[in-house]
Amino acid sequence: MIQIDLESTVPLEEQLRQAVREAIARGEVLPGQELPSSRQLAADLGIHWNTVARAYRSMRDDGLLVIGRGRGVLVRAREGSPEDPELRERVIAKMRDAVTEARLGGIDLDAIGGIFQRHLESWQEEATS
Amino acid sequence: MNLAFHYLFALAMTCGPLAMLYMHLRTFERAAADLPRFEETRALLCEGLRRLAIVTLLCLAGLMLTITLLRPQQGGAPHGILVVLEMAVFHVLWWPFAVPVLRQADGMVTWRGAGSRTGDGSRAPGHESGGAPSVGDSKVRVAGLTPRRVSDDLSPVARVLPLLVGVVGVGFVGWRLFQVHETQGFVWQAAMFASGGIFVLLGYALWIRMEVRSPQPLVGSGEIARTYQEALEENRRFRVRAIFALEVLFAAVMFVVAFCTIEAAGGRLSGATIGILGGVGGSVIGILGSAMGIVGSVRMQKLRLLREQLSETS
Repeated sequence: MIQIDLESTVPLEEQLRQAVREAIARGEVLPGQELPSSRQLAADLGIHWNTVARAYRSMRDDGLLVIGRGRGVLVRAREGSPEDPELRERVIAKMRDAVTEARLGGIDLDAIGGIFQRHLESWQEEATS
Repeated sequence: MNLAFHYLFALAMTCGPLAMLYMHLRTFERAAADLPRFEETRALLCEGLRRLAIVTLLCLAGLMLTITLLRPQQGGAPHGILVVLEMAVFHVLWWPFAVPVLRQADGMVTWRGAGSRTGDGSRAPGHESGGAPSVGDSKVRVAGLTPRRVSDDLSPVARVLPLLVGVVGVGFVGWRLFQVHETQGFVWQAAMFASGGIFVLLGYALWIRMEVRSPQPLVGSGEIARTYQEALEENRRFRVRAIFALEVLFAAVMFVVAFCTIEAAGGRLSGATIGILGGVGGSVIGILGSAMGIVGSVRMQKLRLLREQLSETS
């Protein structure tokens, strides 16, 4: 299930991208599984279908989705290995950015660690439920 | 006589759509009176229906002018062409104007956005449902990630059988009248009975298209979740029963009215009577289909409100 907030400062397209990416990462949708059409998801969320279509297209360009005429929107099968050094470098870079932003906002290192820990625990809970 | 037939036929074809617009509004008023922002949505719906009524009357005026200019003769090519044109205007050309307005009522009761937003968060004009105002207060939206098809809502039997009943019914009546009026020419007869079938199929396809947007079942526990699931199943059963009823009603009406009329007239039916039968029969089904579509949409909106209550409490 995905959730968007119409009053958030984060653009709707970005919220959608994050929600779908997280759903894939959590295993809520599996590789090869079909997602709702842009019109269906837009109708369910009460937003313009073009916003959903743009989000889908950007995820296709990122290699997360496959969009085929007549086939719908499919989650792309995972390629590569968790041990891929390039993947690890990208993850480390994003974590470094997140920590930098948190420190610039005045959050101390213990609190940052706590945030990460709680987030990991929530994923583990969902994985085991 | 031929001019009178065509004028009468064009008028009969107009009455159906106009009556449908009126029934559409009345059904909306009865079904959606308890939903938020009812007055505002009603005003917008009236505006759309008023524009559609003007389009309908303009179609009639155009037809009347065409009839007067062509002055068809008995059995002549313009005669058959005019009949096809008269039905095409109100059974095919009118629908692209009508569908957005008729679905506007559907969008107003099922779409809960406060206007559409683009990806950068700015408000964009228009929406696929016609810029419907918000009918709810929640700014947090939830949706499932499972795609839906018509097959998710209707069994294969429920989808195919009503269409088959309608097509067989129209085909049988057409064959029967073909035997009686075979001198009128195939174009005239084929157009006459295709009209009812086209109207039914278009209305059916429209309604199915609206009904595909059914709420996604939620995985949850507790009383609200159970209530939601039960309401969802009940709504699905309603749609299936309504589709069956619509198609069976059309076939029954066409069988009984046309058959009795032909038999009472000794097997010789006037062109005007046949035209009125086709126009009225098809229009009645269109009205009923439109009313059922509105009722189905309002039921979906009530399910959406229940789903939001569920997501807020879970």
